Amino acid sequence: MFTIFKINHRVFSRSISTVRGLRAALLFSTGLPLLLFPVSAGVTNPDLSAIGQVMGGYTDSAGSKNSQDPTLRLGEAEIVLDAYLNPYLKGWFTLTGGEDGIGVEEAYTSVVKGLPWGLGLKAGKHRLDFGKVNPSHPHAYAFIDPPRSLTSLLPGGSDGFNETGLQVSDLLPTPGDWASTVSAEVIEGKQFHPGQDYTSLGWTARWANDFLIGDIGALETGLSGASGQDAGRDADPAYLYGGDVKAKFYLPGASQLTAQAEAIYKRGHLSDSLPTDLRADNRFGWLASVDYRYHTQFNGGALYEQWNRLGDAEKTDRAFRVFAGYAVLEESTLLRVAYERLLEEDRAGVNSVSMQLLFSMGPHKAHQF
Amino acid sequence: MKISQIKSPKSIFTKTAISVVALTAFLFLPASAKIKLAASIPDLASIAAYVGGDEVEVFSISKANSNPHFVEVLPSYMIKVSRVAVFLKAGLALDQWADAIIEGSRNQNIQVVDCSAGVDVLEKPTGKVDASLGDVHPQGNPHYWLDPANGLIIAENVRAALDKADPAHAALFDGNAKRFTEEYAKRIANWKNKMAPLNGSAIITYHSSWVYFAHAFGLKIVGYVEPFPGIPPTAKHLQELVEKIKTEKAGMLIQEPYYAGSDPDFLNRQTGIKVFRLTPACESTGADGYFKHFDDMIGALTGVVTGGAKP
Repeated sequence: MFTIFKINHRVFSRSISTVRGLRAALLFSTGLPLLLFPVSAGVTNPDLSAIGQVMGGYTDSAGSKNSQDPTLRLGEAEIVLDAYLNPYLKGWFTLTGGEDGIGVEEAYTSVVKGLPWGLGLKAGKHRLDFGKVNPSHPHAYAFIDPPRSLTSLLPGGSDGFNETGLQVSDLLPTPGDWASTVSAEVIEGKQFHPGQDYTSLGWTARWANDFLIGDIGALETGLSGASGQDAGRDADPAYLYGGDVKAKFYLPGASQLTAQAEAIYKRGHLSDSLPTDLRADNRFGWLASVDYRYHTQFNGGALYEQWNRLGDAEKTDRAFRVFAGYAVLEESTLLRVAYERLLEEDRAGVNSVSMQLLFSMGPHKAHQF
Repeated sequence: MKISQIKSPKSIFTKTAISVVALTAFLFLPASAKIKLAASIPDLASIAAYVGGDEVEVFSISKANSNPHFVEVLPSYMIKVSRVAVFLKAGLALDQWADAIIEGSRNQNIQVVDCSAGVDVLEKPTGKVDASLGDVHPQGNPHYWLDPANGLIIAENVRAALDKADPAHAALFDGNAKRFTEEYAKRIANWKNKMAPLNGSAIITYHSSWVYFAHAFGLKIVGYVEPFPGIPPTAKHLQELVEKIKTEKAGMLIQEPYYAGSDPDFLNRQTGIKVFRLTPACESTGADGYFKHFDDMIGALTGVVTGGAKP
């Protein structure tokens, strides 16, 4: 295939007039199908990666249909394709398949060079830049499942805040090791009003600051905001405000300690069917985690989070997780386990255990060493 | 107090604004007209510091004691790279992470130099290359800077890049590159002389980082702690290695500091093999860093420790 494309490219790039003449002659002699001949096809294939996961679980939650029964299933699989489209643009596709069918998790193009003043452009569907956790793919989470505080407060729930948008970003000309990036994005806004048939654009914005702590670590901080219609096209929009901080310390022997925290405040609305005075959905949630990675192969840590309950913001639910991971041989295969204690106010505590075996092939690994 | 002495809020605001603008301008103005370079690994940075002399400022992204295969792509690296004229890549798929940093820097005018250009690459795989072979680099072993003769090729690549980036100082860069070659000629005889007693000695290394070093100084690598590149050892492999060390009479094991020491220590206990924990990259990115690294490694291996590397 590669050779064919090279030959085509050489033949057809001699001159435009030669190409046009040749195509015209071929068209007249052999017919219409030759119009589809790939005159400017790329000469290389995109990077192709696949990530699969085997998931196991156990919960004593009375509300679960599998309460007190161990489960085992094939989790969501990902196919990732990425490549330069031309010297200035890159493309990225993440296709997912699982029990819910096949879907496009991400499909976007971004301008990687050619724009002035450190500007960047990104267009398409992708996990939105809100906080530190949401933009990462779930298979990168050391704690296995997305934090409950985020799935409760962010649009998209457990699928993540992930929409089609048009983003402009700028890497500000800061001194020293300080990297400051601002971004603003117009989004489809659909995840703010799931199941409703109107359209109304929303937006997100983020200001991220990153610093090196000498040779021993790095500090990242960020402020995020987002808005969209969650109660009808003509109602006041919902707003999300977020702040996050992450510190990473590089220890001897390729070991690392990572600590991060994130907080979100939502000012939105519940269903239109509720009385006006009960419609407010003003809630707060936060999470904090630590993860210690020993010699690249082993890691362990803990996550604590709490959030105001959806539909009853007076109540605060909490969850605590401990987790551990083991990279089997190297980064392409990873075994994780997590235990969670969910403490919902005025309800009985729930214990859950999760297991995840991740395996990946290609350049986009299950996780990065 | 006279009324005229009382500063109006407008005046205070104006002076504050002027001060902020002046301070901002001071922070963002270039401190000097030196050519700024970034390098993937310290050795490339050190050679660039030698060839560029006082006309360059150079920094390395990976450090001497960090694994150059795996560097976390941080925005802080991107902002630093956004200000450089030249990026020195190791190439041969060692520093693939550098592409993300260069891309993220949005630097429109950066000159990216693959310092492996012109190197006689060892261990080029033949046939199908996939993960069943471990973390094999499809273009060959990328640790080429550990043969000091390849330092000359790197210096030549750096010189050409600097001449292009700053033609006004081309004569200085050409002169420094020539001095680098002369320095190499002076030192290589001494190094080979010191290493002569070890010529033909069987050694074990943890990862395949030392292939060029062994090639340059006549050492014979008879086994690796890793059964495949990038794959940690199994108990069975270690047992086989114990036998190999005994049969081949291997007396030295060289280990990179970013791998766990337990397996080399096990081999030491089983066979008495001497373990040397050496960094495959130089500690200093100064002009003397590259040559001093060989002084240290050779000193350690031949029993004359000069600092840095410890047996």
